[in-house]
Amino acid sequence: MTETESVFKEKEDVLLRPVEESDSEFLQQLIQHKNVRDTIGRPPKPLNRNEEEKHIEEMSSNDDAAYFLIEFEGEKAGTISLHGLESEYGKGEFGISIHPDFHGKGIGTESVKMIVEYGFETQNLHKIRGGHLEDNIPSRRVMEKAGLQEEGRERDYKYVDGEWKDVHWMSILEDEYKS
Amino acid sequence: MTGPVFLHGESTDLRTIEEEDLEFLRNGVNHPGVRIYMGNRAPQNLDNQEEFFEEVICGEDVHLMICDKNEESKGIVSLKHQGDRPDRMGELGLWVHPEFHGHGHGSEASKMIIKYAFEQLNYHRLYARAYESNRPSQKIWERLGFEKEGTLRDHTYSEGEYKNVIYYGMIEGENQ
Repeated sequence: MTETESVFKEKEDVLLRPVEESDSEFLQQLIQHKNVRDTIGRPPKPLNRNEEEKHIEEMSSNDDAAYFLIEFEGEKAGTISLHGLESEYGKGEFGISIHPDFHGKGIGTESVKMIVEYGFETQNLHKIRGGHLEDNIPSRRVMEKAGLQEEGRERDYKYVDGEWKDVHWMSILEDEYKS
Repeated sequence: MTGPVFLHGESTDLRTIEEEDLEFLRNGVNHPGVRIYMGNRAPQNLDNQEEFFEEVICGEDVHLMICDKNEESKGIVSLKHQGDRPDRMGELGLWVHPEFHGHGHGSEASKMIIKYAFEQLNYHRLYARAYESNRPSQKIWERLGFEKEGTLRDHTYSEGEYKNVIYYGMIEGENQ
């Protein structure tokens, strides 16, 4: 049985499935890619395989979060997670990383659409938000296509290549999703 | 299976340290050309390395394997947070297996980790220590623009005598 058989949700050629410990090497390659680690929320620290496995273990036992591996045409392409499943008022926040080898194929857009659908229809959240750094326009486009709109800018969010970058928070509410 | 490259250099790469690297670590830290300069007095077997791996390498601080472009391991470099968070200060450490001394891997690895520390982790100050008897190590810090900040007299005992330890430091903005 391949891991792809554990498909949780799919749209077009993109599928979401649970992350397994055996995905740790792929996650290392993904998170440590310069283009990825410069754009995600967590600090750019190296993680070895053991640390990455521990991270997967923590995520899978965390009731507040859902963590998915994104596959495109049967290949590992990225990850997407949704936090805040148990938060007061039902406010979810997602984070997504697509390996640069798979950029420009619409994988991010399909994945975010699926996480939005999952958040509202399966987890009954009230609001879902995501952030992108000020110069990450592709990420903004992905969120716009999934129906998110800007709600604010948080100044000096992350330090990259010797300068501070702002993050723009985007969100969608359940009424907007259902209309 | 070697770990992925975290920082790419011209002729040196820095990659994650994995369990498969324990033997290399053991061979390095027991070598007289390495251990006498790092204050390592007891023999280190694979169990000791395993413990070091779990507690230190897999901990919060940054430890990376220094490799050439053919993925051959040369040594390790570390960036340890020192003081409290407001101090924004890190200590650099490194060793290169003596078999590979003199090829510039130590210098390039240091240069890469310094840039990373200032530009990605936003450190304010970095420092390194070198035994006064370890000229090659001092040369690395001097060439990279570190200031010799002080000599601590008879600060350690090694090879039958007390030895001075030199502190080198660099403040943000001084890195060229």
